[in-house]
Amino acid sequence: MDASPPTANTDTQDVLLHVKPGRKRAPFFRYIRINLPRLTRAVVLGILFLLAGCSASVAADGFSVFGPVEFGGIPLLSWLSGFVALLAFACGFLGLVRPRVRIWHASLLPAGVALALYGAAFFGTPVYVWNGASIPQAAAWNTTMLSSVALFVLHWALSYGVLAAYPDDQGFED
Amino acid sequence: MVTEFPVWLRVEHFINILFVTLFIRSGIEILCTFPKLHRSVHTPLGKQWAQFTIKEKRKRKYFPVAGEHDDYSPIVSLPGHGDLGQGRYWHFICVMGWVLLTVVYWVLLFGTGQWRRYWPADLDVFVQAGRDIVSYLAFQVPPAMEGYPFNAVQQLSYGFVVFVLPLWMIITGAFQSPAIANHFPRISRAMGGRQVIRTLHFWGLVAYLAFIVIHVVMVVAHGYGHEVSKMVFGHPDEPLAGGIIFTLGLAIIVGIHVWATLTSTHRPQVIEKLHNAVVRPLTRALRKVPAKPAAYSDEEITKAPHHRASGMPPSTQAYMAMVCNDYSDYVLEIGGLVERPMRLTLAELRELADGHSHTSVHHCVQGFSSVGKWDGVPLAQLLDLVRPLPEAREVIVHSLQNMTRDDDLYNGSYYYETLPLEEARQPMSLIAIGYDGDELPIKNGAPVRLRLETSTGFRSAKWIDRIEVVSRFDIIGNGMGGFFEDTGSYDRLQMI
Repeated sequence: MDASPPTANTDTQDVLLHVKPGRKRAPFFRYIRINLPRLTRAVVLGILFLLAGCSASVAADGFSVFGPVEFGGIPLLSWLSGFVALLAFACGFLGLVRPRVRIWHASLLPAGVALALYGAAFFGTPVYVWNGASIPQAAAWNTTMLSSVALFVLHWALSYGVLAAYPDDQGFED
Repeated sequence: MVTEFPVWLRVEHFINILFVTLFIRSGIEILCTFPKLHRSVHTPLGKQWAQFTIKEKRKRKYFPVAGEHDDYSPIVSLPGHGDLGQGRYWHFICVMGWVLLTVVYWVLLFGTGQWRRYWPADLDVFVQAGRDIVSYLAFQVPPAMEGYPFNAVQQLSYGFVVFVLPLWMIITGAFQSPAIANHFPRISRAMGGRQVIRTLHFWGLVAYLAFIVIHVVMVVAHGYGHEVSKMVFGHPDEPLAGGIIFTLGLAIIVGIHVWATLTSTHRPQVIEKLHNAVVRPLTRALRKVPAKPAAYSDEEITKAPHHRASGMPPSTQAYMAMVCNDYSDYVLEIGGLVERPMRLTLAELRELADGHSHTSVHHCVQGFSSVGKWDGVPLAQLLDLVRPLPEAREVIVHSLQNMTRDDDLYNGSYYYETLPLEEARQPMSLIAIGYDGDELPIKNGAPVRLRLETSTGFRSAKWIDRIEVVSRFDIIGNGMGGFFEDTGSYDRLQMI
């Protein structure tokens, strides 16, 4: 099967999309297109609330990741994680009450801050079991990272066309 | 003790890797010929919930479903390049081997008490599994349960893969067989219809892929040598030797995949012979299972212009003239080894039909489906009229369609299909002359077509020219029993 010439008449000829000149096939993920908009949106919101919950849990634990740095007697990590939790909850809540808002764009903000925080923790004492954290504390800490990565992956999949989330859909015609 | 890994369990585990990987690749090949997943049995255009193709179909020109296939790489599909026939051969060969293996495995599991290894002793296992997941999230490997070789999450996931997923795949796979689905139409419908069943089968594939990825990651996380030593020797004490032997075993499996791909591509008849030897006992048995009317009401049939079709209509002036004349000059010839050869006009066929019709789900070999209400004459009734001679064994249905001339996807001569008298005399084998109270749509085979409800769709030849009763089919065409049987890797026994 050859790539269609750029002058292909889409009225009378099949067209192979995304095939670069000289190649036979498109990149792997171009072959996957899922059209479950409401489910996809629900997944985005679910992960946002998961991020909010885990960040709130990390904030409440008060683990001293950055040593003695604290404000008002509260460790820096708690302040920052609380901020992430607020952001993620606000995004999730907005996505819930405004179904036409494409919330996956805004979700990158709490996800990005959470990832930056997770990375910065390597310069201190990350919330790991071998650093004295309990298993639930470490699990919540790691879940903030995993859910943030999931939000970035979902954003990429939505931008690339693998997924579509309400109010969009894939617009299949044939 | 369920902490042991008996030899038979280790052997089964290894063979299972081969079968499941062959299943996955050949299943993806089957998927790629109709790379769309629907929820409606009617497979309406543009309503798929997922598609796995980069092909955008032409907008203002008729296209049959045959043109919807995509060209997947042999790395992901067996044998690749949209070779549906070979993909089906491999899938069904694996079905026979894997189902046998699974049944033997289950019998041994229950016979030796090893089933307890995969079955939660009480509900606390689920609670413990939740704790284990939290441990994994904390980057801690949870310990094995007392008396078991693995932890609660592993037990539940293995139990799912050993007991639930195989049943899931066997049932959803079986009900994609036209012979089975049309023999048990109510069950098929209760499961959501052909496209939902196809979707459920696909989710089974996703579950297997997810399990394999997580399983492999966990094996590495727990220690590759430590874990594969259990798979090879039954204990974790030989990590180096176990690692080497298991890795060599995986290399052999890769070698089998390479051999399978190359043989299917360059010597397809080898796989065809293997398929015929292994699968035909099942398909021969299924051929004796008669179809029953579909469990869909008249309101639920696919309306005439939307019943999906494959193949291009005859493009001759003679055919167009016949269409313009409302088929008034059409004559169906029935001859060959019969006492009373006949020539029947459409009006005479309508008279014979006397309002007879049946509703059936059309199962395309590629995977699409529609619900059709076909008006016509049972083939058995026509055969009774012409009275086959004692030496008659087969019925050949010749089509007006010339594949080189009419179809932009295939080359070859006139389309034909053969069927044994046993199949021709089945209650729902029909010479269809109308659709839902009206004439047949052109794309669905006007003026006359065959309907074989225990077979995949391509055997129901469209645009019928004449019917011939013969003693053998292997001297017709290339001798394989039909156009696609002659030119591709398709068995005449298309019951699955």
